[in-house]
Amino acid sequence: MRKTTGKLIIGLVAILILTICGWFYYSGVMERSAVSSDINPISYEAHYAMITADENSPLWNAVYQSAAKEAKADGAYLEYMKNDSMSDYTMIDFMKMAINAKVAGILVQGNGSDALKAQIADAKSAGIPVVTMMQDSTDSERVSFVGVNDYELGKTYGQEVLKHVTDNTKNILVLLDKEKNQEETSLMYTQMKDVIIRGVGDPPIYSVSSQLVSSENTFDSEESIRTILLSDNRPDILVCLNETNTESAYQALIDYNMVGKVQLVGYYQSNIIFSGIENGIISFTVSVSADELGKQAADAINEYKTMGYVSNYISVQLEVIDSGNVGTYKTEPSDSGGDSSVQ
Amino acid sequence: MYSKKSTAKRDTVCWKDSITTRLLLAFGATAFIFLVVNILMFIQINNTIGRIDSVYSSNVSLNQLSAALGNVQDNMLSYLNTRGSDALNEYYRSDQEYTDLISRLNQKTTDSERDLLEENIYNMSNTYLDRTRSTIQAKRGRLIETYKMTYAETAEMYGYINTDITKLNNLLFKKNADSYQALQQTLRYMELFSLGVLTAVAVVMMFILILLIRSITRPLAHLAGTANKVSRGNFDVTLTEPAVQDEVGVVQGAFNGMVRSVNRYIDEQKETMEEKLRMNERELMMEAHLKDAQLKYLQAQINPHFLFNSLNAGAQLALMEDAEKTNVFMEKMADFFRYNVRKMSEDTTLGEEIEAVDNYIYILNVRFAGDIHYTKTIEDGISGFATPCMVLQPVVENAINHGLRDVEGEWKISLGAGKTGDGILITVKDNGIGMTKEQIRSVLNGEKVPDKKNPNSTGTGLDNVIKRLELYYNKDNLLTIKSEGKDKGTTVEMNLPDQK
Repeated sequence: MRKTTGKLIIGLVAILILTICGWFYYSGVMERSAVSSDINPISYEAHYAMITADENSPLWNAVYQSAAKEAKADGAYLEYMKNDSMSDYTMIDFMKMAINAKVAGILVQGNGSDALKAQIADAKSAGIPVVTMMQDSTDSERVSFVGVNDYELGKTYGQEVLKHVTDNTKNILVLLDKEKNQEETSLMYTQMKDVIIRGVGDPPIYSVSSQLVSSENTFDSEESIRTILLSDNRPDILVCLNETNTESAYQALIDYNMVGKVQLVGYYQSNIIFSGIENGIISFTVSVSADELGKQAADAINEYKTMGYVSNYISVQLEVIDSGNVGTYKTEPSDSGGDSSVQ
Repeated sequence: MYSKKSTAKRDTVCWKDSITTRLLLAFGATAFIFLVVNILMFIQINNTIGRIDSVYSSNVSLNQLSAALGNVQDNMLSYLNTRGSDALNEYYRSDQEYTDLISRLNQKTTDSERDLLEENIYNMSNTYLDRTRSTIQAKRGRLIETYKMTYAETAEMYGYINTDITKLNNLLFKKNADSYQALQQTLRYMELFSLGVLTAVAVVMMFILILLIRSITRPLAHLAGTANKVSRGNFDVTLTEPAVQDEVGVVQGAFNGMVRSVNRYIDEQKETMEEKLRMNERELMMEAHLKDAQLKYLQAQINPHFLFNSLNAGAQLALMEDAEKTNVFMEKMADFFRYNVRKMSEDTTLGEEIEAVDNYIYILNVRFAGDIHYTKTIEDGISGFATPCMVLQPVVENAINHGLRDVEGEWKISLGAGKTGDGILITVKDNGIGMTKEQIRSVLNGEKVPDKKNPNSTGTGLDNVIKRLELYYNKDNLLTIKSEGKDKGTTVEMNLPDQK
């Protein structure tokens, strides 16, 4: 009887343990499931907003990642205001929403429009500092601009193009973005041209010209580039100043069997562009450091919030990517969608 | 041998050991475990459903929020169109309702998309409400341009807020869908878990039941085996005491008691049989001694029947010749011998024994010319006391032949008989030569053989009397001899127990 009772107790204890283990296992499954998500979100002291013209661009997403990380280090959450399938808001709408939502600061991709300047002014009157990125909104009430100096950009392109000029180079064509600020684009182009011309002495053995290409959609860009490449006055070096034009030109050179006949110079970084560099079709590409851009922009807002002032202009370094260093960039994001450009 | 208490304990089933209790415990424990497991499962299911409910309730809240926002916008527009007090009141009411509703939204900045949307809705709603109040104020102040402008702004904000509410609603719906899938998954886990636990419980409980049933049937099988051996007549079985005082234990205890009782009864029967055998043997021995006494008597008396018939004839002759004394003498001689012949194999009474002694003394006194002074003291009411035949006369004869024969002077014999606690005491005392202790011991041990060649002996010796008394009464030391020494006489005492 005593033995039987002992076995009975052991059996009951075994069942009890089994039940408790099952309970905890099941609770663990519940915790891991979507039902239990968002249970412990991290709280922040401040709420910033980031607004860009094309929120799907890998460049801007990389900038956001860097800026958000920097903001988080200072106790702030950076919200990237994006359209989804239900909305089709403009940057101006997002500015208004951010101001209405009383965010603590705004990072915005600048442009020369008056509407944006007005929103920057409204934000300021609401006590919200605005930092422009990549492109400035000149004469606005933004507290700082973080981006590329057009003069430096033109100079860098000029110096890099010079390295690829040969005795057979007769014609260098720069594709300018039709939608961008012509004043700033002109400054960059002028500087680039000046460096190239001066670099080969006098008289120049080739011509440097520019052509406006619409980049509103890929279709336009591709048609323009096809026309250029198939014309009699085909360039020996083709300089593209945005990602769309670069990728379109790269594909056209392959399609029209012009590899080796035209040297392609691109802008920005994507896996397609990296492939072009590795295949020797794209000579080099120039890009800003997305990490640095995001970090500097977030720091500018934080500094303004802390100190009450910040430098008016914060420069971001340029990066030249060619066949010698493309391997170190290959892990960078993404070849999808988007249109990022310099102006 | 069990005491009454232990027997009673053995016959009673302790409720703790009872098979009923054990079965109830086993099945009760099973039911309890099943109940607990099911309750735990119900709790988990309720938790899961509760979580889903909470998400759905937030959807419901958002719909209310959207409706309240629409009311604010509609009532503001209504007031702007009509400037009526009812519309104004409705506006204030919807303003208050919306303010209450948005106060429930998250107002802190977190990295949760939901929290962020709620925070944005809350802040935009506050800005929107401020602007609607300004619009109402401007309308009341008839600042037409101002309220037109601010109305346009509120309409724009209304759109922004509604978009965010819709986004939040969609987000929650998406979470609902995820939650539903998660619920399905967790419910599948729950099914497996339940199945596993219930199977394990069933297996364990089956194991316990097997143990329980074996603990009941094993003693029964053992008991059946033992009972079979006993039924075949083998009572020399090893009886196992029950380990548990349950119903089977009680039956086993009762069976053990029965086997022990049967064994005890058999032992008693054996003892009785042996006792009977011993008694039969004693009777046979007694008969042998009687035969022996009779043989000795017959050897001593050539033909007693002839003798006492002759004596009777002599007595009648003496009567015819008017010799009365001779007649009496002859009759007493005849009575004495007739008694010897007739009574030797039968029980007799103390009275007849004393009469035989009287006759014997009378005969001797005739022979020895009245030298023997015989006295007797007999207590009344004991003459019917049953005694073996011919035990008293030989003692008297022994006293005369060995104690008095060589004594010069008067011979005295006294016979006494009286009741004791459990029988009678007969005393034969003489004033003869007495006996030493060694002589007494020899006579009592039967070492002293009577003088068979003595012509005066009737043939029955003292050792024969002693043995017949022992056989008759089945008791030793009934006859004792006392003497204070030489010429101090001898006293023989017979302590005869009452055979009734």
